[in-house]
Amino acid sequence: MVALSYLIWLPLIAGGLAWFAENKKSGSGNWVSLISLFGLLIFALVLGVQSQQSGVPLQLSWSWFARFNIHFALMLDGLALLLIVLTLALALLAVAVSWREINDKQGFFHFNLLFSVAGIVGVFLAADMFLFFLFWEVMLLPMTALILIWGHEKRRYAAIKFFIFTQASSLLMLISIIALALIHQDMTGEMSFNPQALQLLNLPPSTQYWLMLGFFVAFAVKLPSVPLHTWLPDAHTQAPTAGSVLLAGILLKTGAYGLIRFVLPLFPAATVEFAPVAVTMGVVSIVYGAVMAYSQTDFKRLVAYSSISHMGFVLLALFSWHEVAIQGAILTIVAHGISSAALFSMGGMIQHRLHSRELGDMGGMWKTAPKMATLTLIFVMAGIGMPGLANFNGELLSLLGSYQVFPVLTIIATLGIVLSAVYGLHLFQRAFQGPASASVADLNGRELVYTSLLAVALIYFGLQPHLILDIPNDVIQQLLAISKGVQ
Amino acid sequence: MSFHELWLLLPVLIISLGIILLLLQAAWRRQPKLAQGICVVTLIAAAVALIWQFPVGVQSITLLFEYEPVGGFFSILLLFVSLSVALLQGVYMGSYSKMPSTEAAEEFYLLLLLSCLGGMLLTMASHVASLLLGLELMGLSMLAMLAYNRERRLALEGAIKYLLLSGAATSVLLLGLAFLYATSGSLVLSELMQMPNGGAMSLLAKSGFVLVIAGLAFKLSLVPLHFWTPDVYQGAPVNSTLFLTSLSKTAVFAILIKLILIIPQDFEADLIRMLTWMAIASMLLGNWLALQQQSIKRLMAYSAIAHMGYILVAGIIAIDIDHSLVLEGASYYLLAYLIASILIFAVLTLLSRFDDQHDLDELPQLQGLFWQHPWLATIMALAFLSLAGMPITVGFIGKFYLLTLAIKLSAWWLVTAMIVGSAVGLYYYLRVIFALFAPLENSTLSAPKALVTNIWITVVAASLLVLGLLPGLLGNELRAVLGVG
Repeated sequence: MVALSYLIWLPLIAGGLAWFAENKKSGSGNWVSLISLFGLLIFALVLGVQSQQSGVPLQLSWSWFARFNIHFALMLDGLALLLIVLTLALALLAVAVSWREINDKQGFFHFNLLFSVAGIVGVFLAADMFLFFLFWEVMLLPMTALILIWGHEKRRYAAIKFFIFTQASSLLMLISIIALALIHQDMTGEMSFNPQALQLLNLPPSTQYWLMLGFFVAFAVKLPSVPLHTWLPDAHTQAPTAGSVLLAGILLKTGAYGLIRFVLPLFPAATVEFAPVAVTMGVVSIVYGAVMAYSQTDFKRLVAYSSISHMGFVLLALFSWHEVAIQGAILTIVAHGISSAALFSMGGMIQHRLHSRELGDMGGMWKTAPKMATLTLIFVMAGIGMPGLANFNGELLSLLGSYQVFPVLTIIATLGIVLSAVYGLHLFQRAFQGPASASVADLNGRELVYTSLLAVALIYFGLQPHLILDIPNDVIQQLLAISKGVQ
Repeated sequence: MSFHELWLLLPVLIISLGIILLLLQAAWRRQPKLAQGICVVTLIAAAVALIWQFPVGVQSITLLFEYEPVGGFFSILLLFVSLSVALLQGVYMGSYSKMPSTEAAEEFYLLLLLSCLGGMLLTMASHVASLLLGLELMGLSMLAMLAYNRERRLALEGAIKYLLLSGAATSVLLLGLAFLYATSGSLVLSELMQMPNGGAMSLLAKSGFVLVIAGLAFKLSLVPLHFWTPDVYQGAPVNSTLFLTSLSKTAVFAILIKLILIIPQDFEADLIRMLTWMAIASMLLGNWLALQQQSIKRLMAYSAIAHMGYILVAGIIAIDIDHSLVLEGASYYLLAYLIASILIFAVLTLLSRFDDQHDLDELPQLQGLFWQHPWLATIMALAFLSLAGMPITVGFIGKFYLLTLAIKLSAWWLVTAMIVGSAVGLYYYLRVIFALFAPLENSTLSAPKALVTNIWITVVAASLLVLGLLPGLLGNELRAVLGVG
């Protein structure tokens, strides 16, 4: 199915086109990016419908580096489809929020934005470990450029930290990947980078444990989980709004995706053995992220720490190996993708108007910007986990499922929900209520359209969570089948 | 010597012919452009001849030389490097501009061909005499190239340092070879380490081999014999630095791996231990010392130390197993290193002038290059990403080969050093790349228009991406090309 590879080439070509168009006529880059991303979204949906109807995932495999039996292999199954659609939708949001925000080198900005979309889509599509690693690394480059060139005051520091953390940790994953391929060679006589083939290997427990750790560190940095999280607050805060949207909305999710796609199926026994550690890390992230979020005075930094807290739920749920918990994790991935991206775009709009992200400079903005306040309230409520909004289902299911396996830790994790109410309301109260000390312009038509769409999505998926859960059902069932074999 | 043997020497003969032509031309009429043309044509002709009659098996040419695939591949690399340097030199000396350099330009090409000849002989050497001949021919011509700009104090200082230390290293090498000759009684390389009645290596022979390794390690600037590298790199004219970092390292590595492959079994364990520590120290120290450098040339010097440490990993593993992957990995990594070095120095060369007291070298001078010369900055950024081992560049594939080798042998110390070294290395490579993309501040830099040179650089840059994106193109063929496995 050659069409699958278009999902990777087309954003690259569109990026080049947007750069070229922007140089010809200022402002046209926005339209090129917007239209091409919209086209891609429809294209991805068409492919997705095809694959869902046929019941088998769409696949593509070309020989690429025969010396090591490496293939250019792509696969579109339910989980990949879900995350690709999320990626493209949030990329549209990223273009929309940076419509007027970027005043310098717009063409190159659009190129980087679409380049990172291509890399992220590649990560979700890759069905060969080598290829996966390639995309995993490549998506860093444009993201680092976005932070470095269009970021805020401390952008250089944030960009270097972001790059080195993710690169260095992924080297460990590379070692694990190579070691797996070599073990396959020892056992069958041929190297292989195909996850399905590698899944059949019967690894000795200690080997499995070490290899699993290599993958886990790379994914835990991306997720991020305490204590590997320190790059995140800097990167999120310093990135331009579009960068924050992509980072929080999708890039963090690649870590969770990696855990679901590789760590759990490849190393089931080691995962079970390691689960108490991972789950503890998840719970610590939940509580630590929430406490840190409360003590922030920077709007974006607060939301960044809240992301650490929310991603802790994903880690907790995934390592519980329970059907309900895994469903909860996937729901949280999508819901947090939407709600955190929405909050970051709000933060960006406020910064654009006030030239400050400090909560101390805000206050009483409800008076001058009621629409903005209302929508922010919806997003904050989603983050808190109010029933009826998408995040609630995800966190509830995560906790329900994990409770069956790790009752004590799950009870502690529940604290996270309480704490999220504390920092969420703190944020809203400091920024929008109280005496009016800052006056800002309210949302304009363009901003109103996309923020309302986000709010509608949060409410809609909050009421109809099964719409999200049905798509990656095949992946969940495979995981459960593997877990039965272990227990 | 039969006609067939002469025929096998064709590439070397072509270069010798070019040298004579250049000598005659310089005596007849001085004309830098013509000299450059002769040099480039000679190198291309030699490369064509080499590829056309690429060796399939091992054939000996008299007692002194042998014609074999690995040496052939390294010779192609040498010609590739020499060609790049030759093409850059014209622009560097302003031969095409209205104000060419007042320094004589023709002799540079002569020295370049001589040095390249020395390197090629070295890769073909099968006898102590030819080894020394090649090494010295290469080293002495290079020395003159390092001091080519006599107006620069730093260049002279660097060249004197290189002369003295390199001389000492060669004497150490000679002493080592003498020890080996004293015990084995043969000067043919393959018999150098065979003990008379098949006995174990004596202490004298062992220390002799260690001295030989030390002499070669000096040329490769491996820790602890690396001290000369930064000063010489920084002092020399930038194009000569490129030549030093690429040509001599390639040729010396070719002979090193040849020697390593023939050591007897009872000496393996000691040698592995020694080389492992050298490799680990080079990787860590080289990357560590590069961290705070402001000068790109110094940074590249320390980076060269680290990268030679990486390549040595392949050499160490070659001791342990005779596996085709070792030679493939070393060749691919070296190629990746050469491509990246050529591109980085090419950009510096294009922005520098030979007659100035200093080359453009300091990091702040490069600030914001991307907004002024997007192509040059993109090429430089790609080259640094390749050195850092980022996927989609050829450097990643090289690193992938070496990691695969090290993991296959469960050499976890080496793997750890490679990972730590790479992580540290990321920081200083990023510093340069970030400087390229920083906001533009200082005065404008001008890059000369030289069509052929620019086309060549673009081709090399394209190969960096093509070999990184389609590693199979070369990687699948390499085993057959090197005649292994």
